[in-house]
Amino acid sequence: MATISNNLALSANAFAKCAPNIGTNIKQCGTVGLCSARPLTSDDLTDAYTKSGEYRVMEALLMADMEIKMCEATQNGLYDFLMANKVNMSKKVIAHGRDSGLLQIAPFIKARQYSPINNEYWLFNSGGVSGQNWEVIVHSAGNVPVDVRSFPVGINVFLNSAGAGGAVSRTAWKVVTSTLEGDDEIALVLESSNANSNLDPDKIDSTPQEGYLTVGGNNVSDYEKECQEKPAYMTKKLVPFWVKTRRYSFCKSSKYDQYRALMMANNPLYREFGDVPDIERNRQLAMDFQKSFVQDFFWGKPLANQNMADYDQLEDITTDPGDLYAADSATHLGAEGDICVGKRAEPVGVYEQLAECGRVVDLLAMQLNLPAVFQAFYDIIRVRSSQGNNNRIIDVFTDSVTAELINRAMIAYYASKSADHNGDSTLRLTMDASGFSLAKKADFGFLYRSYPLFWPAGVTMNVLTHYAFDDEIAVATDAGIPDSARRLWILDFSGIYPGIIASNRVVHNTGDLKTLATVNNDFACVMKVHTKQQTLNSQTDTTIVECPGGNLIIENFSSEVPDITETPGLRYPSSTTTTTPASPR
Amino acid sequence: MNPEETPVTETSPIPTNPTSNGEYLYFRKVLANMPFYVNRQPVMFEPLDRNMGVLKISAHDPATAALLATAKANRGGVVVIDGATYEELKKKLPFKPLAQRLLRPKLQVFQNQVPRKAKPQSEVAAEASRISSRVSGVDSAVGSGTDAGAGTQASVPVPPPVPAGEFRPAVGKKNFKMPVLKKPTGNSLSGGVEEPEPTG
Repeated sequence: MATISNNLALSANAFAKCAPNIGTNIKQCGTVGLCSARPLTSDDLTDAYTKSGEYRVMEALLMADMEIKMCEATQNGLYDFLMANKVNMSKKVIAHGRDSGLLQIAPFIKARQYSPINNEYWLFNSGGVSGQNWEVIVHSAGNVPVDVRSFPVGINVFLNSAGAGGAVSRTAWKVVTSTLEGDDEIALVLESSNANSNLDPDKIDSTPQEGYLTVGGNNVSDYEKECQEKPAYMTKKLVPFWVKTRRYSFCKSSKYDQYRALMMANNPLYREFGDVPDIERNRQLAMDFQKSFVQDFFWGKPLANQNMADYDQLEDITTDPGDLYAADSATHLGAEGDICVGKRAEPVGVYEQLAECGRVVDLLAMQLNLPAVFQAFYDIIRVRSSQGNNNRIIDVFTDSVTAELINRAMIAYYASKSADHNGDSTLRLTMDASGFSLAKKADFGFLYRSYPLFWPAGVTMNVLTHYAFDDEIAVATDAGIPDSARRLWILDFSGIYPGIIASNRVVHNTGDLKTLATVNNDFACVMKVHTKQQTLNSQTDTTIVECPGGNLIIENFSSEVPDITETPGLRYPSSTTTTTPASPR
Repeated sequence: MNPEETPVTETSPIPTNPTSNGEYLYFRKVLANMPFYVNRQPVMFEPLDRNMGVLKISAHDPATAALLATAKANRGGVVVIDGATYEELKKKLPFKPLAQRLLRPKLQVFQNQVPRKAKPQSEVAAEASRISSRVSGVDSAVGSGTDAGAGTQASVPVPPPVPAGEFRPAVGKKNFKMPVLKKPTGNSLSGGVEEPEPTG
């Protein structure tokens, strides 16, 4: 018979003031039954009710006279962080293939998205003589593929380059020929249009080697023949988000119910320390499901072959080939087993989706550099504004200690902008304590401080703190790797959310005696059976990060006060695909 | 196998004691795309594959002390290696400049040419000859979205002969006019609308 001794062990902490007391409940299905309850025998009575020849007072220790509030810090995790952000964890997504079975074998949903056409500027280099003309090699400075149609014969192009002695050269040219060179390059043979320029000769470099160019128009009379057409660009894409189904379950047994009822009536120790009420148990299980969901939501990684080229080779999901669908027909009762019912994928978490687009920066336990963070803000603002989000307030989530270190760095940052002719700061903090010392409280309960920035202009950095970040650093410190948990999350949760595709709940009641008697004659001779109620909850979901470029994670930096000095070439991330200028020094 | 011949892999143990080799020290850089600075100047590691870098540096270089201190503190992605590991890493993980981890996103070009009515073969050849003699690449339908062959000039495609009348665009109006932003005025060079030439 199964024992429950582990659950019976009453911890000394059950009566402690400063130490936690927590244990696990008894598994309700398949462990205990009525025979696990041990009624007192005549031999037990004396020991149970007396001690050293005196009668015992039985229940004094097991009764609470009053209730007071919890007195331990509640560990916060990402679930608490998301809830504090009011992230919609039940946002419904309609998947077209859900009912047809397509979603089972192609376990992803696709989001239509459009790309901008960034063809304002082109880069050129390798300038050289080509007969009477000048030739340059051109490639895109944005995201457009090269096409000779982008440079029709006769069109104006304007070259910007550095001339002799550092003078800027701005010249105009007319395209004579354009030739595809491979490697996304075009060779342009150009005829100069600069003979009548008003600029000083030193600003007209007739042999520009490298620089950038813009494209002008042609010069064609209505009477001339001209039908050249520029290319159009296909900007549509379908972004896949991988889908899986997850489940949690709980069981309720009539056998356990009987045991519990008996114990509740007859054993005060069990009543006080041995039982978790069903409502509380279900609440805890549902909460655990949500918390594990959030962990997947952030950290999930793709499985083998989980890409658009190989997803047909993802692991098969088959109906259980084991006991459930054994060859013995009496066991599976006609249900077909060992059949492939779909492909298994794992939703790619927020962290991985950001990393896929280079939006996770590991500072390798070095010092955080604020100007590099501000540079990243510029990139983020540009991307967010292209989405129609013109808000110039950037929320940065971090732990409370890092927030204070940033606070000190920001005071130094402002002071550095107000140096007098001797280089001494003229900033004097004569304000009341509400400036930098007091944090404000956001609607959602976050504490934060706001810092308007000099650059990017008009941008305000909100540094928000949440206990989830503090608690992770505390754990990482215990593990000996504190820097690894120190992070700035620059996330826009309006575009980061789970997509719920389907949810399901099935409640099975086993041991229906009439049904049992129908399939098994022996049960026709039985009048009562113990039953189980098995509840299964499932959810099919995906993790959506609409625009990784509008978000950034900076992690693993030291606990020093952040550096406020511009460091040439230092960017977060180190390479970028946006049109970012170098920040001002 | 001689330990010196053991091939170096990413998981090979990295020696932790610097071997000065008399004159030089050797370092490996983790996450080479995140630069390491000494006195606000980036230390230039030799790039290897897998976002890794290596460095052979004089023991007397001013940056050496900072590199050693950082490696000892297990920070900055700086790891001390020996000369043999340095050579092996360079051999086993050569830098692949074209294997960018994050490819710059590119749009595709819409192939907006429609089939044209077939011309006699002789006329097609003459036209191709005339165009190619004037300029190469103009009017080409070949964009970078299609593999036109690296390093070759874009050729002007000769329209294949198609049966006459195969393409018949559905046009609602016979006299289609381009939209104009404002009415033609007397100042317009052409008056906006071409006047028919007087006849007779």
